[in-house]
Amino acid sequence: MELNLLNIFLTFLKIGSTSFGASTSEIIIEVLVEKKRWLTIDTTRECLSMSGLAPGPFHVNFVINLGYRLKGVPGMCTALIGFALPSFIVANLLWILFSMDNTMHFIKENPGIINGIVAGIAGFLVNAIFKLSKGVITSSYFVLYIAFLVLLMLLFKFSFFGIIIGSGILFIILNIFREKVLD
Amino acid sequence: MYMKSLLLLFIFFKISVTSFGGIYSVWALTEDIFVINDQVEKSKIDNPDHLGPVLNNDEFKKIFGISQLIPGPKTSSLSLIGLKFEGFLPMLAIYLGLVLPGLIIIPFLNLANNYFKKFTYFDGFRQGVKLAVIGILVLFSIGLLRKGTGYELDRSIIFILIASMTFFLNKRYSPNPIILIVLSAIFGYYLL
Repeated sequence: MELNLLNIFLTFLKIGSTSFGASTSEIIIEVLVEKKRWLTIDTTRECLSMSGLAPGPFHVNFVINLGYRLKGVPGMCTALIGFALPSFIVANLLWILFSMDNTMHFIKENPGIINGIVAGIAGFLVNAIFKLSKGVITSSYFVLYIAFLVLLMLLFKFSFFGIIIGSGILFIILNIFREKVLD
Repeated sequence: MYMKSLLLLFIFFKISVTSFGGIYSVWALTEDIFVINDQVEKSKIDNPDHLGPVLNNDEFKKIFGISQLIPGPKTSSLSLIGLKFEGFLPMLAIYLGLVLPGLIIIPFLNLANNYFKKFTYFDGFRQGVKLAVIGILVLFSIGLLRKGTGYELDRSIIFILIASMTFFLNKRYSPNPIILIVLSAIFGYYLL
C-alpha cells in the first residue's frame, strides 16, 4: 500500500477502532511492520522507547512518533487524528447512552454498577502503580519519600503540580550533587 | 467561549506535560481540579479564571467509566468535560491540550536524539516526577475508594476485593480490559 497521508489516516483509523489498552502496541507493530512494511521492527521499538521519554498519554505519543517517522509533521497530525477519531466518537455515543432517561434511571436505582466499575478501574490503577514503582523505587528511602509527599498533599494541601515539579527539580539537584561527589 | 476554551487548553496542557507517570496521573490531576470536593479552595490554586470544579462525583465516575469502554486512547473521554462548558470547541481544546506536549516534544526528540541521550539531568527530573506521581496515584486510589463506598466498612471490603480481582486477572492473564470492566460492573450490581 502506498505511503501517503490518506492511507496513513485510514490505517490509524483502523488501529484506533480495534485496539484496547495494552494490545495497542502489539496491533500497531503487526500492522505497520508485518502487514504494510512501512517501518522496520527496530525503528518501531526505538519509537516505543522514545515515546516513554515524552510526557502525555503514552500511546498517543507512540502514534505521533510513528506518524512523524512516516511522513514528518503532516504524517504525525494525520496519524493522531485517525487514531483518536474512533475513541472520540464512541465516547460521545456512550455519553449520550449513559445520559438517556432509561439508562440514568437504571443506574440511579443500581449505583453499585458504576461503583463496581470504579472498583475495577482501581485494580488497573494499582497495577499501574506497581509497574511505575518497579523501575523507580530502588531503595526503601524512596518509599519514605513517597509517604512524605503523600503527607504534604493530604495534611498541608500542597498543590499536585507543585509536588510534581518540585520533586523533579529536587532530583535534578540530587543527581548533580551525586555526580560532583562521585567525581 | 474562546477565552474559556483557551484556558481549558492551557490547563490540560499543564496536566499533560507533567504526566510522566502514565494515563492515571492525568485522571488524578483532572479530578483534583474539576471535581467538586469539600476542599474547593485547593482546586482554585491552579486555575487562573476559576475554571474550577464543575463535575460532581457521579459525572466524574461516568466519564472515568466510559474511558475504559472506548477503543484507542482513553484520554478521548476526558474531552467530555468540555460538554460542561457547552460546545464542541471546549472539547477540542481539552483534547488539543492533552496531545500538544507530544506534538511539540516528539519531533524535537527525533531531531535531537543523539544529544538527548547524554542529557542525564533529564533522567533525574523524570525520576523525581515518577516518585511524586506514585504518591499522587496512591492518594487517587484512596479517593476512588471514598467515591465508591463512602468509607463504609462492608462496602469498602467488597470494593477492595473487586479491585484485587481485576488487579490479579490483569497482571496474570491480560485479557481484554472490557471483560474485566463488565465483570466488575456485574459484581458491583449485586454486591455494592
